[in-house]
Amino acid sequence: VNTQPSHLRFAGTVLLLLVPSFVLWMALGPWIAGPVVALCNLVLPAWMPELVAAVQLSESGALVLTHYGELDGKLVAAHRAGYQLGFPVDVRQLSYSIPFYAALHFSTRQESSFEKFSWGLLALYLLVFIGVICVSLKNLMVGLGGLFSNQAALLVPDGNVVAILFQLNTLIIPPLAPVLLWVWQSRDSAMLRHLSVLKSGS
Amino acid sequence: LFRFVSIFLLSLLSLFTLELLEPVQRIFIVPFTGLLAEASATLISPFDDAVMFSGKILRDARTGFAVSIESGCNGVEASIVLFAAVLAFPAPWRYRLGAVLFGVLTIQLLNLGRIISLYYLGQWNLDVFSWVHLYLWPALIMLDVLVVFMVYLSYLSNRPVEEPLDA
Repeated sequence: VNTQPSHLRFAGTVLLLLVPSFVLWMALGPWIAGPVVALCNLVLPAWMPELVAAVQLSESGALVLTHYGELDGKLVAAHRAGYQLGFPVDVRQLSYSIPFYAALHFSTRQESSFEKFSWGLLALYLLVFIGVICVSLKNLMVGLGGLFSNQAALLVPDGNVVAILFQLNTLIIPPLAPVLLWVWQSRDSAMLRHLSVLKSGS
Repeated sequence: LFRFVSIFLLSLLSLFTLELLEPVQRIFIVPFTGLLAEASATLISPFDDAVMFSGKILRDARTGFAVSIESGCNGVEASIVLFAAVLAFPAPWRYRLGAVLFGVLTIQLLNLGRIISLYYLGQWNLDVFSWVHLYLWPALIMLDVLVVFMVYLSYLSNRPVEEPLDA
């Protein structure tokens, strides 16, 4: 049985569904970022109280506000600088996994589709949250330098670990996580069952 | 499935970490990215004589607009994902090698399309450039990886039975 045309049909359907998925995702930008930003606002200031003052929603992204500002080229307390240094995070750069996942999911016929989709969304949301934390760590490390690595607060990852986590969460996880989720949730679908080798290999 | 997921994730993380090491970047990634810029300029030049390249930068001599091909834009990460998936799935080694070669070729061909499209989109509208660059193309490249892997699995399931999968 030649299954390649069905793969091409699948790819074509995904491409078609990407259009409305991305349009909806763009339109819902602040609503998608909002809960993630709110969660980060609970975690980051509690984790690094000496550095992070708050995490705010800024259009459809996050703005990590610190307790520092810059005066004459040096980092000083925000009240001395007269402003708070903030680091923006493009949440969309992490959350595009959601429309990609939606396109993959709805291109495959399967049982309990909406229930699976809801669980998938929840999983991706968690990954977006972790991604925002990792990007923020990188921004704080680069932007605050020694203040970041020398803070006496709780555990702060090593610079190399922060760099790898940043790259992993921006380059690999957003495009790969939807695919892995889709494969897992659709493993009993007619399309993946058709790949009989999957059964023999599992 | 557990075996597949374990090998896949372990290979993925190992190769990805390896890719980030400075010597690997210097010896392999940066020259390879330069080759992509050169290949893109070679493909564009018959239709547009203003294109020029220098290292990993593609530039328009008339407008001065330039794109720099950075990590995540050279298709290496997508190739690593495909490599890890092929490695994790039990199959004779020659099939795995064929899948990786074919897959990397399709990824890089699509990636050249990405670079060239971004080069022109950037000269037209920077907002559209950013949107397509940051959100759309990564999804399309990963879709390519998925389809290649599914075609590979189809090929394995339809191949003449001559060797067991656990080779």
